[in-house]
Amino acid sequence: MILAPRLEAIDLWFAYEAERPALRGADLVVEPGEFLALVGQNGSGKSTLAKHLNGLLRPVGGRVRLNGEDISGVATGQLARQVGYVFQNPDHQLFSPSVEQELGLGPRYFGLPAAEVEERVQRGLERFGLRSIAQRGPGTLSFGLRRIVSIAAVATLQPPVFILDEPTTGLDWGSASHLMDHFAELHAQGHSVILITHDMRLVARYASRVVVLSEGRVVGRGSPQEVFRHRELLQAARLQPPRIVELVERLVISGMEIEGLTVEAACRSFLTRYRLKHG
Amino acid sequence: MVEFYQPGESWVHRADPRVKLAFVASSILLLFLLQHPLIFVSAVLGLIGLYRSAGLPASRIWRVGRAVLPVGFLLAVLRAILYPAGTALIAFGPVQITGGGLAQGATLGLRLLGMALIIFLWLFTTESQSIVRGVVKLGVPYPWGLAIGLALRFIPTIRESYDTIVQAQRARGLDLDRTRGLGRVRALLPGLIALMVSSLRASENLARALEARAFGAPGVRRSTLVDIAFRPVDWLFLLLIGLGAAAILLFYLRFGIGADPIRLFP
Repeated sequence: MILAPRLEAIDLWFAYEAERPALRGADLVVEPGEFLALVGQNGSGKSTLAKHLNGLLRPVGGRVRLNGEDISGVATGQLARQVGYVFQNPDHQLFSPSVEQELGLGPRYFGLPAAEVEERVQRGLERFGLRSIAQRGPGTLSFGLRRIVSIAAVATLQPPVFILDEPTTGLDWGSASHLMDHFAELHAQGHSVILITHDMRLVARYASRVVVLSEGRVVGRGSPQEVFRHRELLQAARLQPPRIVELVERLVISGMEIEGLTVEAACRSFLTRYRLKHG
Repeated sequence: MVEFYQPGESWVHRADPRVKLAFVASSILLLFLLQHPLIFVSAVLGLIGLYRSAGLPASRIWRVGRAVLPVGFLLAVLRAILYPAGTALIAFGPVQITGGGLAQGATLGLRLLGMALIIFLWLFTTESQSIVRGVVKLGVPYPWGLAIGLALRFIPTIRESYDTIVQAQRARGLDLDRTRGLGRVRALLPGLIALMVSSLRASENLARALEARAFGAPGVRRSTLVDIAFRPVDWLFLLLIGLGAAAILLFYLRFGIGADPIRLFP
């Protein structure tokens, strides 16, 4: 088991342009081993907040702590050992002439011995199904594959905490859930995962806790169940829960005893409840 | 940092883009001819005055200064050390600092600053559509004009991409604090390659998007949404720019004023 660090952002203020602060006193705690979804409309400060957790951005006000220690004096290159960040656009994070070398770039930056780098690369190629394209140039691949390579390249760093910034945009549902299943597996091994997304189906299926951002502040937090029930909050943050959640809610209102945020969970709950009743 | 253009209603904003281009061209030409540092000091002060009069905030001037001054300062120092002229003021072994060298160095640094201030005054006060209209009306073919406009429009975007790319590198464990000098240049090389790849991809997409919106469709006469025309005051500006440049040129050619880096009046 991996023991992930506890991350804490306290009253963060940040502005790209002086007149319009992107963060206005945001607070966030990521408990060790938690699968946290960071949601909110475009420009609400999700990425900005996440980029503070590995020191890519430094707050103008407030603090970030890793296991209780202030990270203000620690370089991002060092924090990368604890916190891995997958960016939105794969083209901003592919640097190497081949997929194989791309996967080894981070471990080499860490100064790991060659044998260890090689082992991690081979494991990454296997895990993400990239073996057959190991020698191709990442720039020549399709968008979906570039995205997978960019994610695999962070996974080889084996950081205890993963930040995934909209990792499934542009992927079909099959590839997206395959990818997320991989992170669910890492989560089960003790890694923390922070998922930035607009896809509420992913939130319902994978996240154990949701933090809602709006205009640079945290406006709500709780389990997916709690957040999806909170109508005003959803409206304020312009979020729409998955259709299945709405269906379950209406069925409950009309007197059925059913629960679940995903189709699978709702079916399970329906079958166990009503098979028992009607034999 | 999103765009060069800073919206405004000042007389500099309203001036015809061709007039501003004439100012840019003639003043840059003069900056290359003239040599005395005092002239450059007054030119920079004059330009700052123009910025203020155009209603541009001090932060804009500072932004240009911050971008150019490090290189300008380095050039000035190198010039002063590498090309000594006249008697030494201070000497450390073989390294001599001379009055002439200092003056030439100062000229070089200030020339760079002045040029940057001139070009950015134009970019800060002229919408990219007007820039394109301006150069097209001067006889540049429309696709070239559009290319100029797009290039200007994409400089800030490319800059943003590069920042993200370096962030992605650091997030993968590149520790820039620990690399110095040549090692740092080598460390940033992969980022430059990623920037090239993503810029090429972006330009290809842009070209397709333009064609999808019927750019270059045969047999079509372009009309324009925004047009520009000289007002009487633009002719006056043009006349003043011409007279001013001619006067300085005359003093320079006839009397040699400003032609020497050390003595202003020969």
